[in-house]
Amino acid sequence: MAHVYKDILGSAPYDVQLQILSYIEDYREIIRWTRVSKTWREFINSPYLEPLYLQLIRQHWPKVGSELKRRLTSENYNVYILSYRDIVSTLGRNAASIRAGQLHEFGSFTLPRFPGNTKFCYSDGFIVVYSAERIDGVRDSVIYVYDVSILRRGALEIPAWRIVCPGILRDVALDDGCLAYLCCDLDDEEKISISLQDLITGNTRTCTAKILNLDGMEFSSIMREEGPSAFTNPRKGRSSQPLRFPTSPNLICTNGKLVVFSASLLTHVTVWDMSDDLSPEVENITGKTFILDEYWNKFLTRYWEYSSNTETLCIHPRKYYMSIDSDGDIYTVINGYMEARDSMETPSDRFFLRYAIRKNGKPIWMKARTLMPPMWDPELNDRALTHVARRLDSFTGAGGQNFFAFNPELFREFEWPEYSRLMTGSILDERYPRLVLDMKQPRLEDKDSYIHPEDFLDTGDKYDPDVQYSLNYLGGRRVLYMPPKGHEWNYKSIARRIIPTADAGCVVWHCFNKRVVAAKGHDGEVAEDEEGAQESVIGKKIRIVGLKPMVIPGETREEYDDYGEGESMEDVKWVLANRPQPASVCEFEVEGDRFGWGRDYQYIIGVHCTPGNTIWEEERPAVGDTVRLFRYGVAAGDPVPLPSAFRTSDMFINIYREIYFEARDGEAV
Amino acid sequence: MSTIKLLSSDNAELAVDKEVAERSILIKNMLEDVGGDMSDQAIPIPNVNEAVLRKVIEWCEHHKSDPPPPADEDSDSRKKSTDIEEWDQKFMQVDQEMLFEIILAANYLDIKPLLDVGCKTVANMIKGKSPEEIRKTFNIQNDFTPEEEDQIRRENEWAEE
Repeated sequence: MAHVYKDILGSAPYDVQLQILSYIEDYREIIRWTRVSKTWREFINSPYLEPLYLQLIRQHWPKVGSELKRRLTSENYNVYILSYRDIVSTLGRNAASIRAGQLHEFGSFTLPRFPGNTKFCYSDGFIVVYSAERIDGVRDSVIYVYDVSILRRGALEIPAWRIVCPGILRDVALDDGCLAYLCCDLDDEEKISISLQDLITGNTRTCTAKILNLDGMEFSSIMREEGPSAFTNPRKGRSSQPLRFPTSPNLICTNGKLVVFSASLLTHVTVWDMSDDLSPEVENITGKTFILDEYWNKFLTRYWEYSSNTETLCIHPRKYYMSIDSDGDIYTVINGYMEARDSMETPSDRFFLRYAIRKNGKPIWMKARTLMPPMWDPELNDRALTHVARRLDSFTGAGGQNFFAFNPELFREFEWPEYSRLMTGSILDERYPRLVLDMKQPRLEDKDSYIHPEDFLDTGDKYDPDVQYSLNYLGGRRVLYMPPKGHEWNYKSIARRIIPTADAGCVVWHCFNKRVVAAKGHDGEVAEDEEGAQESVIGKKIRIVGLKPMVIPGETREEYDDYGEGESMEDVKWVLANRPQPASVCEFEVEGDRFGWGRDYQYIIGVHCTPGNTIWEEERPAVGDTVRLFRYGVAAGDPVPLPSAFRTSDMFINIYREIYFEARDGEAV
Repeated sequence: MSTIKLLSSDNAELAVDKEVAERSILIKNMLEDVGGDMSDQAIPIPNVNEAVLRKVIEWCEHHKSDPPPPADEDSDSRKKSTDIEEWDQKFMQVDQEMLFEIILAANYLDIKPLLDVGCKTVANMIKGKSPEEIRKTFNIQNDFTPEEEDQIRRENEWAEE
């Protein structure tokens, strides 16, 4: 009997087509099938299949799915959104281009110039520009918001608007389309306000708090008298009061629901629950202050006590990092070094801390917390067992994942490289950082972390029983990260980030810069970078590159071991012979010395200050900083100027005049 | 056990247990609307011919004791397309025309579990296949010019493996 054929999918009603295709998980297959026939192309592109594409968005890009839901329910946005099919196509094309390491400059626009140094942050298609400086005569700070989302249809003009802050702006954080900002009260130095605005719906919640201003010794004495929980005791009225040390940077982060703040060298964090689904009757949102880590607090207390007596020990926390994930778990990194001045050997010791707590303050077990505050005892002066971590850097990946480029340094006991190599086992350990993901996972029963002093103590049920963090290789493979070197890459690294996902096939997007200096050479001509010449910085050369990490062939290895991986000479030869070239390079030059970048799955953003007149000197607003938008994929054309349009009455010129004349009035001109 | 009669589009009258027929939500609702008594009159099923109706009844008889499907379609309990019971797999080993008619009949008669099995079977037939392989599977004529096909390929180059 002859086989009876039937174009089942092409002939079926839309609801049946929808159901059949709903079993296809790979959206790329569905897009490819537009080549089957004209009938197939028609139904695959049909608006009747929009529920299918919405399902695919939710499945593959849940964060976008959530944002989309908010955009569609907001009157301001729903008419501008791409169809679901186009969103799948846009995001799919984007993801493929990211993995291929393709990047090109899409366009640029200028920001209005306002008093003070401009800062910016970028996330999920929103650029937020602000100045955190107090300007005489300006009572309330202003934040500018630009929506550059790739979900928008026909983005001829970038919509922009402003937010007037309740006081002087200090810090902002941006995530999931929500902006958190912290302001200081003009009249009360101890009063702060914390706001969270949904940039899509415009819903804003604001609360206030008092700050406990502390200096190191006061903290130390309170800690000594009352213990690490001294500042988290509600009965003493302290649990809602963030701590502030004069020398500590302010750290703020949000996940769109919770706002977290710390200004105490990360000894404590204060969390405000600003969820939209809270009852509107909840007027007074109270923050809760938690200890980040007891050992870190004790370490600092002892340090302050000791250093105040002898002034021979210096501690230098150099980098702080704090993030919060969608579950509300707070993750922090402190990176620094300490040194003893009284020793002939001037011993110094790097320290690197990873700590995490849940939103209720419960600490999370950090399995194999290899680098930690040195086990330093001022009375014993025993530093024999300390590690020295060199070339260590942390950076973020998509979705707030925490990555490290990590290169273990020698044990102090083994001063000679020959010994250290015996210990670490591989020359690769000494030269190239490992790419490691600090992965949150279900808590395991074993507690084979034996290095941290706390691990010797009976911690009982102190740690959260559900989750832990551990350092893992990407995709269970040994992955090396090899920054470009050599003469042509004589640039300084600014920052890096893994986009889009955490696996061995990812791309590390890296920003390098090099100062361009004007100098007078011996012949009187202006030269660049001439050694020994009198230099002045006139700009920067910027390179944004996509670098693919190296996956060493052979056995898989889940957990990272900081004692060295012991690769064979064959591995070493393979690595050196297969060093990857950057997948793409975007190079440009900017005027001045200030450049910043932001990056996620939608764009890489570069912002640079254009030197020029400020509004104080001109009647018209001077050209401000420039935002350059880089899109993934190959260039469809040359970069274009992108006009931005402020919403209705928020036309920039009005804002400018408002600030300008307020300032002039303040100066009693 | 009461029996009812179904009248196919080609005027064939088929007797079937009421319990089996009520796997179809359409028939179940119809019976409820007339008070449950249709012993004298055949229920017309105008969109389904005898051969297909017999297949549908065969499936309903086999699955008459199955629990009702979950109400929440988006629940995690939804099985993946490859997950089809062995009996159902054999049941669906029919020519493409019959498979198509069973799917349409299940859709018309509102027999969701049968529609699921039919759709999953088709999904399994196309899953992982290139456009060329799909054309071959269903004997679909490529009605694009080479230029048109090339243009679509270029537009969706990112989706090519």
